Amino acid sequence: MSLNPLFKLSELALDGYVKVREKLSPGWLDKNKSKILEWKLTLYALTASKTGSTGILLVSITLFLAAFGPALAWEPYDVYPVLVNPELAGKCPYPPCIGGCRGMPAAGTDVFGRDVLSLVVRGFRISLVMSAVIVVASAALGVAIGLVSGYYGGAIDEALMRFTDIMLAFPGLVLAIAFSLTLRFSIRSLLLSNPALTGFFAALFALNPSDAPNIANILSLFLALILVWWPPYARVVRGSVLTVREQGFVEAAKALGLSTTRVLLKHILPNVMSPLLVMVTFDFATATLSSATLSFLGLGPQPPVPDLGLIISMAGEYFPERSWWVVVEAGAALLLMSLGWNLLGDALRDAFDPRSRRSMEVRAKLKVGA
Amino acid sequence: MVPSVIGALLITYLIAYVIPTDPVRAWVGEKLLNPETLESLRKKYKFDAPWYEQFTYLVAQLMSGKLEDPTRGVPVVAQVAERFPVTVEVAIFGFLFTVAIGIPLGVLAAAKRDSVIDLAVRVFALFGSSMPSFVLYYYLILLFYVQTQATLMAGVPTPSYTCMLKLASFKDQVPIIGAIAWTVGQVPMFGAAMCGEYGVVADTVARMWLPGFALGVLAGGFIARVVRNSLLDALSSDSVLFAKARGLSSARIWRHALKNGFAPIVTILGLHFAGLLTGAIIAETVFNIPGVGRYIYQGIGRLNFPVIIAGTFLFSIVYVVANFVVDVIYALVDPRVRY
Repeated sequence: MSLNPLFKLSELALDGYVKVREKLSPGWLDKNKSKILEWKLTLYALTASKTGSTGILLVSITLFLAAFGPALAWEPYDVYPVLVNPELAGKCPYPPCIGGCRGMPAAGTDVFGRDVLSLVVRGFRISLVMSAVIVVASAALGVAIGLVSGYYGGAIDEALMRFTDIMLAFPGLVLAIAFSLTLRFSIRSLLLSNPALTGFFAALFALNPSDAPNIANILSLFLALILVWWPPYARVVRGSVLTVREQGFVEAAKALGLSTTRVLLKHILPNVMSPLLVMVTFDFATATLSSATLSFLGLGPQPPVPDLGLIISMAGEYFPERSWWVVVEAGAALLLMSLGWNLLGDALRDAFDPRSRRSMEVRAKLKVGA
Repeated sequence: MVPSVIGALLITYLIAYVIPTDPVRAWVGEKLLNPETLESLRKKYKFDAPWYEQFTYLVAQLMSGKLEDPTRGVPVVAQVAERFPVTVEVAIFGFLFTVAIGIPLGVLAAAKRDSVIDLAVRVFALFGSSMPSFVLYYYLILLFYVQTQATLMAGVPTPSYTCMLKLASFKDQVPIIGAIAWTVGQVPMFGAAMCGEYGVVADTVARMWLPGFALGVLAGGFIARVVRNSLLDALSSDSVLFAKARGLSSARIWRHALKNGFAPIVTILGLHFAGLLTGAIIAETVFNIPGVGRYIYQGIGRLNFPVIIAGTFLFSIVYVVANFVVDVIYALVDPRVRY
């Protein structure tokens, strides 16, 4: 029986990683044999399910377009064809056409005459960077607070958790709107006075450095989202830490005289990792949608930035006769991204859940040859 | 109840207060009026006083109904009272569709566990949580308005003026029932129904079914999953095992399971309705409905403190009342719960 190609591919990658580690520190492979087998089983469980493989496929497309989309896009985003080419005046937005386009893009144009498909291909970069930064930063913040709160307990725990509760109780959207409106002014002046920083963020979002005010808007948007995003992480991590810290190996680590940081990072964190990983994956989907929603409401960047939420909100003004294709194409891109993350999260949850895992393992062990 | 409302007001106010911009400037716009007008506005809303005086001023004015929306020059309470009934209409339609889609699908999925239906419900829920709401709204408009003309898209149907007068005089004549009828009648659809203006009701349905359907599609899958899981839990409980052991018919067993399984769903549905009353900003924007969500969103954008405070007040009342109603229904559904 042949194994599925996705699993073979990921197994190859894992083997490569193992070889590198073994080269760096001889003996690593021997010490971590059971860990590697565990990883392989998880990979198998992930790739064996239809949900998992579809999710991996969609997420790979997202990552690929986010990495290379801006380079692949065949049109600059900040040159308006209607201004450059007087013949186009009054013709845009131009509907999609199959055959007989007379020089117009087949996927249709937006109101400025830009090719919608080229914009959408660019849009993946901003969406992915936004969701990645929001999720990773707020997970890190939440994990730090949750670890400290759960490990120390007492007054520290009480103070941190009450603060978390207040943030949790507050409607996130309202808070994010307020934060993003106010942060943008200070970020804008910071960026304008610091060209190197602007250059870095411009490269990150694949934008032109002259779009500094828009970069400030994007940054304020995700800072705002990070500020409202971390509380659930702190709650979940604290809950897991409370059970883990009572276990024998933590006591042993403390008895060996390890520093608190080492106990927290090396012994407690790895044991709260799997619920965290599932949560992060699902949150990639939610963060993609939330940031798109906020920029749809006009809180994010302004034209000409190729942000998917913004593209749809601009098309909304001419909806439907003169812009339905813009909404369909940009909307499909957003759907593809969040669907991929949701599917992957679903499959990860199954792979980490001991109940659904057992049956997969039995099958997997036969095939992996353990 | 009162402490949580006051707490919500205070936190909102403090967050708005720490924002380092000049709200008065934001109200009048970048092209400035003369300095005296600015100064008088500042005095009027006590921006020259410490924050706690500003806060108590805002709350006291709000309670007496005199608080003005500085960008419109009319009382905020009147603005909210004008828009809230429309939001209630959207929320009712959204809730009905959510329940109509979510509960039958959830029960079916639980009954035919691991079947095609179960899988379909799972996919549907996944779709609901992956779809950007505004994109779905646009797609539905494309399908049901542009292609099939199956809905109205402009304005909000209201009962005639004589109908409102009738309700008002009824309120004066009959003490308690009249007041209730008048309050319910503020929602245009109900007011029209009470006066017998069924054409308006039909128009409302034609106007509101699509936003309601869209909200239902987004939340229905999630509700169906919750119903399914909670029913499966109930079906695998000891009481059901006992019922099976006693040899009860499967219809009787299902009756037991449904009764037990629906208790947690009441909570989720109640909070979902509260969420619809407060959070349909996007739907109101895309479907062009003049509801309270959009008003408050615009208020936040312009740092309009009176509107923000009034909105928070309304929302926290909605949540407090929703929690109370959920608790009452919970006690009715589950006789073990006593308060």
